[in-house]
Amino acid sequence: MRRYAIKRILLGIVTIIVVSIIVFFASRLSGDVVHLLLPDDATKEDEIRLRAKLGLDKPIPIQYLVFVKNLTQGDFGESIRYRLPVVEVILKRLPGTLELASAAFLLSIVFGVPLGVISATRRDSASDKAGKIFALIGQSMPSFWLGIMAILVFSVWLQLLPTSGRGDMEHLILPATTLGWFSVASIMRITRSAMLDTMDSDFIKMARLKGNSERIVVWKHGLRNALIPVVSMAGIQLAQLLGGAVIIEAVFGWPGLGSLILEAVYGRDYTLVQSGVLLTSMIFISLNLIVDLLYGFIDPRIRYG
Amino acid sequence: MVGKTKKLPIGPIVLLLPMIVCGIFGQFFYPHNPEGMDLAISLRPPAWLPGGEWTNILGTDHLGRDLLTRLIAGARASLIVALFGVAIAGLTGISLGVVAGYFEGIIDNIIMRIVDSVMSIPAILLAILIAASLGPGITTIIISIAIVFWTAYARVIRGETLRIKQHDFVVQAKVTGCRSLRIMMKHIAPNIVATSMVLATLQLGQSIMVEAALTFLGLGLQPPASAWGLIISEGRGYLSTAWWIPTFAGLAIMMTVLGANMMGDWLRDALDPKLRQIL
Repeated sequence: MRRYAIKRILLGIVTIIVVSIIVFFASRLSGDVVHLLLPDDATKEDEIRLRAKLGLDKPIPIQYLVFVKNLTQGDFGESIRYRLPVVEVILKRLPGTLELASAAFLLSIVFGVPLGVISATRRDSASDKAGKIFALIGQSMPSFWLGIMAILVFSVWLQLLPTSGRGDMEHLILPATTLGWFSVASIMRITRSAMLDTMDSDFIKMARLKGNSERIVVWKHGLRNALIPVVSMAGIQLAQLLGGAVIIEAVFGWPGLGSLILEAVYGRDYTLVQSGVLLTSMIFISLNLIVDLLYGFIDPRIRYG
Repeated sequence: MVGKTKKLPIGPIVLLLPMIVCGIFGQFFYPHNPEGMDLAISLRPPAWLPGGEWTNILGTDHLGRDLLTRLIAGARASLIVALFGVAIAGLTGISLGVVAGYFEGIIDNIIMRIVDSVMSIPAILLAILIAASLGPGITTIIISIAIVFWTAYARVIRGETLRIKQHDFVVQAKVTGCRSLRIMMKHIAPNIVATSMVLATLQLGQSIMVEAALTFLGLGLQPPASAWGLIISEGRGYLSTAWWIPTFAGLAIMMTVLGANMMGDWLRDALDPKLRQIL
């Protein structure tokens, strides 16, 4: 277990380093950010001064090393627009995204797991087929469109829920449901296939022979043993929700990390965009790492994997 | 090789054909000019509703442009972006996947670490990052899609190459002194065609979604162009008076993506049902 954990953590660190390189170079694809930052009537001197101030007069590999050196000291740079350390700006908006993503995550588990179990126990029945069609159609909808349709129905027509902003439960329902919608299908599918595998095992037959009711066999013996792939998928989904939140936040005017990054894109605040994406990716990688470690903990067979 | 299956994929064809026809030949049957504004008829509802006219079957937008015409015109943007994006992603990913799987060792390690890393950046964020640094436009979207999607090909094709490499015909080719490039082109490439085709079809739908999302966020085609994501974002401001604008544009996206996904599933089962395990 220890060796597996160490190997996995080292791999996570390598991934973070490569991600930092990708993010750094991707945000410089256009070549020169200085022109984006300067007003149209800026003089040559202004340009040189700004370039020196941002360290953009040095070769790109050197710029990257400086970037990494600052990162290791917890310095993600200063937001050009807010004139504040990027970390400060991001931390202020992070709770919004976490609230949205965890609510969506909860919804996807609460609906996805039972639906998957029902689908598996009534294989090829009408409800199983309905579930498959739901998954197929559900995954073909753009999330931003689903969000707008939800606003149309529940806010504009029925006037039940607010269209945007963050506040009480009422504000959370639409964005969380829209975001969670896409994870429900994935959790459902993985639960279904894990349950189908598990229900074929000998210990399930044994549990039945012992005279347990079918309900106990399915929900206790079956589901408990089918949980490992579900946990793994849930981890992946939690990370996906962080990415998906970007668009949902834009649709519902939800003040989170995603809408912050988008505002930074529109405001050409490239340090904020760069660090925002990097930080989100780091959260994403850490989540996957934790899930992998948990996975090895729940199922000892993984240790040798 | 498609001969194995008995049924034609009616569902996906019905869903995809209108989009493909509109994308290629759209300009020959536009009911109106897609950019032709007429404020006198702005926000006109679809024909079957009170106040609707049969000249604008699906109604008009806030500038009086015909919605159906704009949807037909929007098909082209989606088609171009999806085809080019998937083609570039595919060629890059497949080549790197074959190289990684064939040579293994350090090259494999480097390529796969990059793949892992790209995959651990949320796709939409990576696309936004690239789109933001290149500036909005259709080329930007194509590049973003290529950079986001090549990893899937690399990972799958690497696995396939590792498997194919074990077969006698590759081993014998090596023994007879074929150069690596020749083995990869003549012996490995033909055996990954089916997998690549299935993957590409499944990714068509995904890339149309990403394109629509980026355009919706204002990073793709700019007004007054016609693109589905743009129509939705423009229509969003008129939700309470003109529900039809975002609704029909979204349905167009959904129909196309659903068609591409179903076509991908059908192709997978038709070409090689074993692919079910990896795709």
